[in-house]
Amino acid sequence: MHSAVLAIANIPVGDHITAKVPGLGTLNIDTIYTTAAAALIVMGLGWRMRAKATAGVPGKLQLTWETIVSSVSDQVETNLGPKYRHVVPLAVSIFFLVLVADWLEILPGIFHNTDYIPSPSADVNLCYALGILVFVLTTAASIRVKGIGGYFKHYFRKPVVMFPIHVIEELAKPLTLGLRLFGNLFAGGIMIALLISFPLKLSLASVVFTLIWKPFDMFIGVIQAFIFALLTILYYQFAIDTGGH
Amino acid sequence: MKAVFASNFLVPNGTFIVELVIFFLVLGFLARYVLPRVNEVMDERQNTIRQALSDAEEAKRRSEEAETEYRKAMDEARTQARQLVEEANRLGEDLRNQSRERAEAEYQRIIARAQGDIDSSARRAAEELRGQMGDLVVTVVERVIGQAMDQAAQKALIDRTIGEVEREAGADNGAGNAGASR
Repeated sequence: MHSAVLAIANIPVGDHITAKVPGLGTLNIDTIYTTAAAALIVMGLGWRMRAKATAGVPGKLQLTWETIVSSVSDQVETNLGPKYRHVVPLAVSIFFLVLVADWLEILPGIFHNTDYIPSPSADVNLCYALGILVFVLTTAASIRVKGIGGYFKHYFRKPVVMFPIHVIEELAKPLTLGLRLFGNLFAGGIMIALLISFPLKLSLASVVFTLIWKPFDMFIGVIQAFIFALLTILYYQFAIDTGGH
Repeated sequence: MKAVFASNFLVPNGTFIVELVIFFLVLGFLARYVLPRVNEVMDERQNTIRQALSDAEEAKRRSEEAETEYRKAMDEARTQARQLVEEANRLGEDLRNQSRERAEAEYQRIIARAQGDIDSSARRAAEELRGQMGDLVVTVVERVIGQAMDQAAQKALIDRTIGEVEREAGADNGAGNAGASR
């Protein structure tokens, strides 16, 4: 999509309500609000589940939590082993926060030119924050397992000529992790903005396409949350893997 | 305070730190309050299920034991019943054998007594016959020779005659018995 076209359709791209805060620089206030909202929803749902949790027949909310927690636990247990059980809360938190953040944009905002509440995942700040956090944690785990020398040795694994590629491969991990989420959600917002910007005589098509697109966008939200959590576990696995290289 | 393209939207700004802080809050909350509870109820449920399974296993084992005992008791009862029947049969057989033996003995006794009677009668008859035959022989001989015989001669004659007669009678008897047994 060419930015000129987006400009003609008056579609905001990377447009945020900002504020300058000393020490932190520019803050995207809207992203912070929506992220906080997503966080509160996740914590609220967790609290509600905790209050109502039963060892008997679980309700839908408890079942959702149990399904996610047990499948993440299984993944961690089989890929990383019981020593890395602390990765479970990380992956579960990432999954739920990203999922709720993605789903915040469920309402297309007719009068907003884009989604009613744009997802905070459509802002690189949240995506990078999570991606770089995972990168730092996995790198730390790798150094803990292999030692500093062992960690850097894997950049020089054979063929040594590929050293630059190995470095780029490693640095690309947090970047791709963050940008994958960002791109998908950002594109979802632009799709809605495009559909809303249809001229009045195409308003029926606009509504129909929006109704078709939105559920798909929600599905993308689930997939992205799932991929982010899964890749977190897999990056841990690559990081602590001492055999083969 | 809108800033369209104020900076490249792919470059993060200070929001990054705030997002990180929010995420840590969520992570801490879930790790502290939510996940332990989820794991707790899941463990509890698993224990309940495991308990139910082991109970069912126990019940099955008990019912199998009961069945085994029942079968054993049935087998024992059957064996006992068979033994009782055999015992009864054996007793019946014994009783039959005993009465048969008693009857046989009685029969033999009667036969023996009858045989004894017959023998003694025969002996008496033979004695009588022998006495009469002695007198007859002496009388006939005295008539033939025309004089009386002395005591010793009479005895010798009688003995010789009776001995011959008995020999002949014995030979006849043997032939007669052989004929009768055929």
